[in-house]
Amino acid sequence: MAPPHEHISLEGGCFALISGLPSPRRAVFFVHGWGGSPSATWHRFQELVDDEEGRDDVRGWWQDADLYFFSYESRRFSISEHTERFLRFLDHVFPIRPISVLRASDPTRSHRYGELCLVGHSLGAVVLREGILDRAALAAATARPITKSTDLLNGQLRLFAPAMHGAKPSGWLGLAYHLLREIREIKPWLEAARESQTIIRQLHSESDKLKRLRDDTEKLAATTSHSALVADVLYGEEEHIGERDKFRLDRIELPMPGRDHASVCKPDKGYREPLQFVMRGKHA
Amino acid sequence: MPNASLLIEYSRVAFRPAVAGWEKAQSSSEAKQRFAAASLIESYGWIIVGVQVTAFPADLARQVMIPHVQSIAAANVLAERESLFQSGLTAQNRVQLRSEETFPPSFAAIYPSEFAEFPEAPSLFSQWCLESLAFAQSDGGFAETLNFALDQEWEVVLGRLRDEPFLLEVATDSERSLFEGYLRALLHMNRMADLMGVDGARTASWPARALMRVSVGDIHGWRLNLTSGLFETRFDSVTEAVEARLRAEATADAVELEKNGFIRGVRELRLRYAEALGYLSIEASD
Repeated sequence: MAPPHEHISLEGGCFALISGLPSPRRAVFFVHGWGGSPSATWHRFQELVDDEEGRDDVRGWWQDADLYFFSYESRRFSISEHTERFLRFLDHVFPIRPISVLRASDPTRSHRYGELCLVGHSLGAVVLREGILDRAALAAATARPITKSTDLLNGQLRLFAPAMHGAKPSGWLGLAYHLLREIREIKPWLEAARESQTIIRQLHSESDKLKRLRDDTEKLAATTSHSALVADVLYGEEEHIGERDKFRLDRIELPMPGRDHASVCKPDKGYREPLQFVMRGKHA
Repeated sequence: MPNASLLIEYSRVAFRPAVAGWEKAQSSSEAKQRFAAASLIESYGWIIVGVQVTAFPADLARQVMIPHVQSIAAANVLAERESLFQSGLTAQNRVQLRSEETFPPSFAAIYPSEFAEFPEAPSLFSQWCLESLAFAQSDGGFAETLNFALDQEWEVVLGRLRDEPFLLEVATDSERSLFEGYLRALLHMNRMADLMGVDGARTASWPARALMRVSVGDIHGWRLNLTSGLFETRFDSVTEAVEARLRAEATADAVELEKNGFIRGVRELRLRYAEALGYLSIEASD
């Protein structure tokens, strides 16, 4: 049995769980959503990947993976800025894992990954899709020299409760607005705050940003073979923040009973589906 | 026509967990015991009223309750001693539990003329019952904390609400969000007030509606007990803290929200809710 993952802190609040195997096959990147954090959003993923009570095939898959948990200030900046920051993070450790990331003295632990899995929750799904689209556009622009890695285009994309189809506002004001706007005594006061947040405007389902993201991704997914342009999608049955939908070629799983926007991506001893969904996608 | 499936579901998600919660609380703090007692007596009350309005079949309700009569009686003793309910509910329960009859007479038998004009009583009861159940399951410990937390615990909870940065997601399942519980409490007050109101209802049904909502207010009102000084003081503190946090977030986005506008809206909502549940003296607390 492989040793458990080793926790390594990275810049900007990001961290990695490095496989106990010398040359893990794959890298898995986790991108949290609005108001989330790399530890809270993916709560218990970090320990359950090494859980000995899990199924052998699932545990074996995760033991053969380095896990990278991306952190960003989701309440500030725009989707494009989040995306740029994520791509820089990814390019730093994928496809070649540098020794500097590990801060380890053993040079044999630097190696090239064979597989990539990109996992997003809520706004994190939008960030990932924007990043994939960015690199797919580069790859499609054959008349121009490619100066950045397009390796992520061959990755697998797994999305929990993605906000690609619009999301109701979140955060202090957003949650209050979402829950209380039907109350006639409070609605007028909340209306003044409705358009106060840049990111919320971008996540409205009718926003030009999301329409472009959808149109361009669907177009490229239909005309190229890049696997990352097609996602596996999972919502909870009690989703209350985002619109439950998918892009045209995406594979959507049946919604998870008893799970909502926040809990659908949090495995526990009795809810191991998130681990299997990341591993296999739809019909895990 | 009594709805057996609704009773079975209510028993599964509310009544039996309340019995189990009461039994488990015997080895817990007094505050936990008070909350468990109130929860069980409320569940018992919903079944009683459900049978009285013929929303629940009496035979099935009897089967559901009989194995747990001792627990109900013990919880009722505590609830009566601690005055957890108003309007003599626990005294009525005590008499009922000693009676050979499991249930009091139906509303239609006690108030024949009123309920002759109100055939939709069972379906309206079902809506109230489901809404109260949804709130009890989603309040994140709000009712328990505001009603029963010790002062020291309360100060910690309130301080966290005032000072800590808000995360939509919590780090562990055991952490509870007072903020979200508070929002869900407001939502519940609004829905109950709407459901219990008479907008669009036939005038002939009003007396029967009033009788039903007073009964429901007696069993359910403890959760948001706006006639209790302790609950009301804490509720007001949360309201002020929430407005301050909401205004601060808006200000950071260069949006100015009217000071005390939220507090005023909540006060008006409270009035509507209190009127719906039959409270008459809510203005005195303003």
